[in-house]
Amino acid sequence: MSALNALIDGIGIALSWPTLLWLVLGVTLGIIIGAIPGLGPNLGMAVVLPLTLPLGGTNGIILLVGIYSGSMYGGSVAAILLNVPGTAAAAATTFDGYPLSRQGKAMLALSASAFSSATAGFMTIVALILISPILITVVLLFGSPEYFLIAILGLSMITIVAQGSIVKGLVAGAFGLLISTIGVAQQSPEVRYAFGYVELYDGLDFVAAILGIFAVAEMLKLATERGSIAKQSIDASGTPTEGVRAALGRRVLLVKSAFIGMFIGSIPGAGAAVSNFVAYSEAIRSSKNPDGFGSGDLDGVIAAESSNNGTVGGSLIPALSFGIPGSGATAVLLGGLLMHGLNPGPELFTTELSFTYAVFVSLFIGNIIILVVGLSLITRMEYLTRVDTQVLIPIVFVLAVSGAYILRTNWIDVLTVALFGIIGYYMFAHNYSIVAFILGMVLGDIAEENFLRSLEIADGSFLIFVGSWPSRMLVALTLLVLAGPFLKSALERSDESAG
Amino acid sequence: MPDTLATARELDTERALLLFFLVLGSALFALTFTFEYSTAALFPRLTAGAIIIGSVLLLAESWLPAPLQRVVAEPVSIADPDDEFDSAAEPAAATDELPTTRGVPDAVATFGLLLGYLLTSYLIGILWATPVFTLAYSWWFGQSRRTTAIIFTTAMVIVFAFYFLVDAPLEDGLLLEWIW
Repeated sequence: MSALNALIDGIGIALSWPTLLWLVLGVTLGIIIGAIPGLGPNLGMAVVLPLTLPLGGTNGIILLVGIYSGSMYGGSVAAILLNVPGTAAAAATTFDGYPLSRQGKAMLALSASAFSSATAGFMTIVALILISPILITVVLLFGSPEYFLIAILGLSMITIVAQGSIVKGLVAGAFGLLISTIGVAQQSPEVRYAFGYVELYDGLDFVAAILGIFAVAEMLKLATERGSIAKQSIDASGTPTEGVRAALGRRVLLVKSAFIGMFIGSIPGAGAAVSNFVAYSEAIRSSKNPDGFGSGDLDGVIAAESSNNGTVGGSLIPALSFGIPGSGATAVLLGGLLMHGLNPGPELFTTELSFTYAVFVSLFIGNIIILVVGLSLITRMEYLTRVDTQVLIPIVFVLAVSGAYILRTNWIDVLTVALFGIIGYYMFAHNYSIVAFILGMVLGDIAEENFLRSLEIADGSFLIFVGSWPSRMLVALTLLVLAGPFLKSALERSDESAG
Repeated sequence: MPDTLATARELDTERALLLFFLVLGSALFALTFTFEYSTAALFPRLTAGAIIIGSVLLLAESWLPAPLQRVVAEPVSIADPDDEFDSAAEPAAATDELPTTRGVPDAVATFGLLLGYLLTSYLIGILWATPVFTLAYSWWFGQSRRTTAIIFTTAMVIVFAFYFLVDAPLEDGLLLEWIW
């Protein structure tokens, strides 16, 4: 099937019933989840993941993608109204969004945020659709050794993009990979680490682990932050159109920030939590009035909000092409794809190309929903920020436990939620990369399969991993990525001592 | 003094986590030698080996030579946001003290309640354990009647939705199976 036919099919799928309904529901839910401080796309998508089982692959993934996209805008609501970013992706929005709110311009900031988020989403999805033929060519160049190496490269990138010790990141990734080996082995009837329990023959379900890490661990973290969310009244006077007009008047900034977000999103491990700061810094650098930032400059809100929605399109590039998520949310999305039997990589760009385009088109439509819902509910947004986060804890637990149980009606999955909840809590607390762990666990089977298949092709020789130019390039990139930060700091030190 | 205690507590939990990784990695590494098929052993042996090496390096961090110590411990990032922005990334806690209820840290009580919920669910089924859990949670944290009603109703809507729409056997519990 040609790319154009697949795109037309994709448009048909995205606009069909009830797919459109799931998209509207996903985006609206995403805006709500993003707006409630303490929640966010990772948790929202994780608890919804088991519920997508009866929906089937296409509707389930479109619902998840809708939540992801909606929460990027939703995160700005609490950032602007309360100075508390609903998600890490909206952290830079607080710098100017909250001062604007204090000046009685909350409506201006919220409407500019909705318009910037939606417009940035439109542009980057169109760009994604335009570059997809190139992506298809690149993806089809890769074979088993390259797919194994790209999983290793992804893990390495995630460990260094996420702040913290590189060794901790690698331990977290290896832990995920090791956990994925529980159960019947890939290419032999060996039952590994089941200790006689039939329930463990199929291994630990990664969706249950995701629920533990993102739902339980996040809620335990929230339990230690009791009383941290401010409660105050907000002046939301004005009209939504003034924000739209103001954003339209800053077209260059909007476009630039959107593509900064898309570029950073396409780097494995670097999600919207990074891009909003980079776009904000660039907005200050290129501004004629940099001193105004931090005290209510609308440019700051537009830069941060365009970049985080731009990241959504970018993060789908490594996630769908190579199975390497750009952030926690895309890690959950990847889990959803695998849960529905959709393997990232060549499959999504050949036999499942219509599905891939349906996801892209849904994201495009999702931005219209962000604009409509964002602008029409703007005066009601304040209520979302007033939800007592402590009320959410037992509700999220019920969702996580019931969701884990329905996966396979296996109590091991429920136990997995609790176990990974506590492990995840301490991994969060001590800066171990959670995304690296999830990536390891989600990609473990694929990585092992490609690893063993490569060795089988080469009669057990590890030289196959440097046998082709893409492999050699990937090995060199991995080494560069791992050594890069140390070379950088060594250079900085030598510069300091020379200076 | 409280700062010293908090740091000590943090170090202890970090060491406990590392020891967990080390013990788990070592045990699973050793078990690969009991596998009948060598292909089944290769991948878990490599990943367990990586965990063992990483955990040992982190545990022995303070005894390592300075250049290696930097590699092991130094936070690295190729996309580090400016330091001046760091504080905004996480909402600040109201106080440095961990919140407690009835003398028990809230995170501990929350996890204890979750474990109780799991155990009760296993015994009497998720459908019947959920109201018990929501009421126990609300009682422990002293929630108002209105909040308790919201939590209770929302939780029941969720489990009944799972029960009827997904047709999940949420009423199955060990004790009830035994009784009926």
